[in-house]
Amino acid sequence: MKKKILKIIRILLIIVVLLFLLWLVDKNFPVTKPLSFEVNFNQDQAAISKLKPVSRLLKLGDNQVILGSPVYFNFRPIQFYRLARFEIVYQQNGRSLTEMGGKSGVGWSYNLEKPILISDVGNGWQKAIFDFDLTKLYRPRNFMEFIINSSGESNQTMAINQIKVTLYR
Amino acid sequence: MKVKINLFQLQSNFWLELNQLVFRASFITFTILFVLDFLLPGFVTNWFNPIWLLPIVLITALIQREK
Repeated sequence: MKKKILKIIRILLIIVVLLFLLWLVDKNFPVTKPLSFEVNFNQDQAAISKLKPVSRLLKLGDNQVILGSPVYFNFRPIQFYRLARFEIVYQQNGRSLTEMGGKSGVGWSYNLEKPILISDVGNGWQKAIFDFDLTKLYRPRNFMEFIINSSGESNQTMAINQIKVTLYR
Repeated sequence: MKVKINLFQLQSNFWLELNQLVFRASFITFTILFVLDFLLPGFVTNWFNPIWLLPIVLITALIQREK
């Protein structure tokens, strides 16, 4: 009886571990849709941080208001992915989104890109799309740094509703 | 005829063997996750922090030592 219970528990533990490993593989290589992450403006996540520095930012409802330029965030994709597509949903209140950059070396070295597409999403909101080749970016301690540049006077702002990154191999 | 199973009346050896099972499972899982994340940074730690398994490993290891 005792041996039987232990055998069942052993099999259950092996199944749980295997299911957990399968869950991890599915999280990193989803079958039905591409792998994507979204910036949480309230807190850092393991894969993607919130926007920084706080001195150039203001939280207003669900949106992040940008008061100055540049603002940055860190991203930590696994090395299997070569292309990252960033989608930024924003609203210009005098300040305009100019470019986005990925850190490409030590010091102030950024691979700056203009949006490849800007589309209207309604109510004055726009969506800008940027593509980055992840193999060309600097990855100290497996973290990549991205900056968002905007232009405008010090009293002009820009609201960001969503920053989403989708990874492709 | 009803068969009653009272887990508390099982021999204490049962609990020690169960402890050993949990120790092995958590230690092996921790090691696999650690190696996976070392080889592919972010593969594990982007979704789950394996450090949460360490208290289970430590407690079960201590119980085993007491045996």
